[in-house]
Amino acid sequence: METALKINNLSKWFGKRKVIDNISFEVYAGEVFGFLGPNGAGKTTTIKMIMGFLGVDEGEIFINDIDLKKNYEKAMSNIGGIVENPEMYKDLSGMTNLKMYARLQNKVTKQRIDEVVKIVGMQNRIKEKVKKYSLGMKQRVGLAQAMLHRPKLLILDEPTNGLDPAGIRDLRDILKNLAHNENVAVFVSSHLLSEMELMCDRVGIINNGKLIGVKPINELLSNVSGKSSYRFATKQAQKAKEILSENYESLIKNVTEHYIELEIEQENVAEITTILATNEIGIFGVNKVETSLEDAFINMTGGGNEIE
Amino acid sequence: MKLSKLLSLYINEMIKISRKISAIILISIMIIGVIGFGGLMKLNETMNNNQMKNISQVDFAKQSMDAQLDDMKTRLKEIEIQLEGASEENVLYLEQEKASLVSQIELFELAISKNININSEDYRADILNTIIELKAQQIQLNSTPFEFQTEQEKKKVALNDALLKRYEKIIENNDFKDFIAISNEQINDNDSISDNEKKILLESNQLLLKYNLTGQQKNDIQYENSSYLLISQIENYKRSLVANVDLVSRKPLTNELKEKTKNDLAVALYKLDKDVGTSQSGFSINEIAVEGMFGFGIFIIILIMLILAGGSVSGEMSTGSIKSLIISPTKRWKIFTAKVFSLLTVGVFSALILYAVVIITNGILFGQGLSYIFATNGVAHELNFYIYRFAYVFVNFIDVIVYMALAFMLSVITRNTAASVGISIAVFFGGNIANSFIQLFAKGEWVKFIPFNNLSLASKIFENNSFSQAMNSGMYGTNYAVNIPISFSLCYLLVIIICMGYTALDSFNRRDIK
Repeated sequence: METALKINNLSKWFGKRKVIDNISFEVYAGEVFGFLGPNGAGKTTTIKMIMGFLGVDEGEIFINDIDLKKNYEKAMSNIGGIVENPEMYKDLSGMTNLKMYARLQNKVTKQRIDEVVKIVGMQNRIKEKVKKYSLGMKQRVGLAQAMLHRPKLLILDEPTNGLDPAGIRDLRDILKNLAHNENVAVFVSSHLLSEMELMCDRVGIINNGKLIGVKPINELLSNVSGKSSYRFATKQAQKAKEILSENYESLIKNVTEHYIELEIEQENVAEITTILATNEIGIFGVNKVETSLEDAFINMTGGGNEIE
Repeated sequence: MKLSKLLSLYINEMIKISRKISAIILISIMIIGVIGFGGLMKLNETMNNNQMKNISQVDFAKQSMDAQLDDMKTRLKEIEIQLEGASEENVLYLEQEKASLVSQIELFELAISKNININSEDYRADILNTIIELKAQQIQLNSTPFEFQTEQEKKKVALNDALLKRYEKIIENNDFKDFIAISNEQINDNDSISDNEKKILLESNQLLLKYNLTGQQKNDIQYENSSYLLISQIENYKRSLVANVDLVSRKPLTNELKEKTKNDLAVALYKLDKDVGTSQSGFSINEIAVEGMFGFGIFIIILIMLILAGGSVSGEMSTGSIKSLIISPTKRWKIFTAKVFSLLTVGVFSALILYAVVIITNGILFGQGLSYIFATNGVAHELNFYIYRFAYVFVNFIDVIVYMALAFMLSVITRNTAASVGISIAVFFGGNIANSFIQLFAKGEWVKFIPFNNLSLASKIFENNSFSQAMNSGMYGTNYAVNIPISFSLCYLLVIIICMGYTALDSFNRRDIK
């Protein structure tokens, strides 16, 4: 497999704080790689180091096997991306912005510009000034800009920010198409696993500047969904606990005044409900508890408690 | 390949700047201001001329002389009345006044009869005064009966008689040549002045004769005034050279100063020859207009550069648009260089606009412009107005670059547009004021390391321009305690610009963009 991005033992300090701690991973051509982590975990910092915003304190970055430090311009010509929010020149039109960016890249034709504008669905409003755009529209133009020069590596930092559900679906399709049909390595960061699960092939999880692990998304999800939990809302949670303790003690995860939480599969929900109902415990509702990042971490690190 | 990227960046920068409304507004203000100033000066000139035209100069002179004469006659009558029955003490006093009045009346009547304006610079007015004086002398001398006069007195009477006749003849024939001849004779006969001084005065007379500077009413009275000023300057330069002492500062002439005085002398002689006079105060309205237009324009250009340079990097940092530059495959020094060049382009472009607007405005309003006269090795040269002013703008552009470098460096380092524009404007406005305070207390060589003392090179390079002369003589409070050579200033400014540029580049290259 072609390696589009290779990161070796990357570290970065902000003052005395080590914000990135010895990270190494690879992103391959033809996949969508999710970079997952809570706010402040170091996702954007890592991306900014790859994109040349921040200096690299330790470690190496290779893009398409080109050392970023040694051959900056050549390495960078293989990257397209958005960091944080897409920022453009507000007094210029979206088209002018794209043309200006195209000028700095090698061989971007007018047709290519029109093509990407069409891909992101901005052809009707591309001639308007950027200051008239909504955040979602800016994201679309930003994406167009990022893929303008057919980069081998597309890096998108929280690309779904500000997009409506239809926009998110479009984005997903665009990215999947790029990766799977055009052999581009797509690197997407996010703090939402639910988002990742719909578009990523592999996911790397980062917390407190450390890379906790890299796994294919289905493996990660099976780990998590294997132990999904449900909350049964009731006023008699304590009583319910006593009843369930007889046969399902190991499944009880949490008991509060308002609910009892059980780690069960979906097909077992009906069974538990029946047991509780026959014991005259009033149930107001049953909710599936969304798999949290923490659960993912816990699963990936084998339940270890390294997270501060 | 590598340069083409720089060119692309440069084109992008120019696109961005072209959309900056502040720059466009300021350039428009510059153009309007320059034309407005020129128009105002023209209006001023026209109004002055109209005032002059309303009254014929000759009539005006005659009327005022008549009025003065009438006044004197009335006073004479009063005195005659007062004389009857005045005390003895008073009689003596009144008689004296009467005598002087009588001679004055005689002078005025003579002047009116000969059609000479006694209040003007006309050489004949001088002669009339001398005639009256001589006549009084004669009367005094002749009050002694002839038999009792000494040989010397007799000789003097005869001499005076001859002189009087000659003078009268000069008045009759308007014979300026003979007037100078008499003056020359008197200078030669005067034993109380040195030979060198005699030579200087004789040469001045020769110049008066050569350029026919009679002081009589001509088309432009101002030319004549400035010609006299030039002649007295020439005399002073010559005296300085003879005595080997600077007459103003009373310091002995160094070789350098000697060279300068020789050049000044050459310039003054050339100006006199070219009849390129300025008005008596030193400035002609044309020169004020041109100087003012350029001054205002360069002021605005510096403001434009401060605003653009002060916001060029910090502005992109704060809006975040710098990201699209950093993401693109270009090294940071190229981005930096493209920005510097785009700023310089705007500066050069506005300077060219300024030059064109001033030249055209001046051409329409005043016709020709004044050329620049300078001398090297004691030989005067003339620089054509258009070339001179082009060079003038070019030299002034050095200041623009220095201030631009300051604002740009601050913009890169502080990453704050308000701070960098604010600080650099404060330096631009306040720096010279602060500097003149420092000048009050500071003495010594180190003063030349204050940047402001090295700016405004135009007034040093074009030192014969009358504004520069006023500036260098301390008329505007910036009289430099230490005379700084131009070559030093240029090197110093170059070092400053390189230092600021390098600091900015280093900061821009290395620092993280968060």
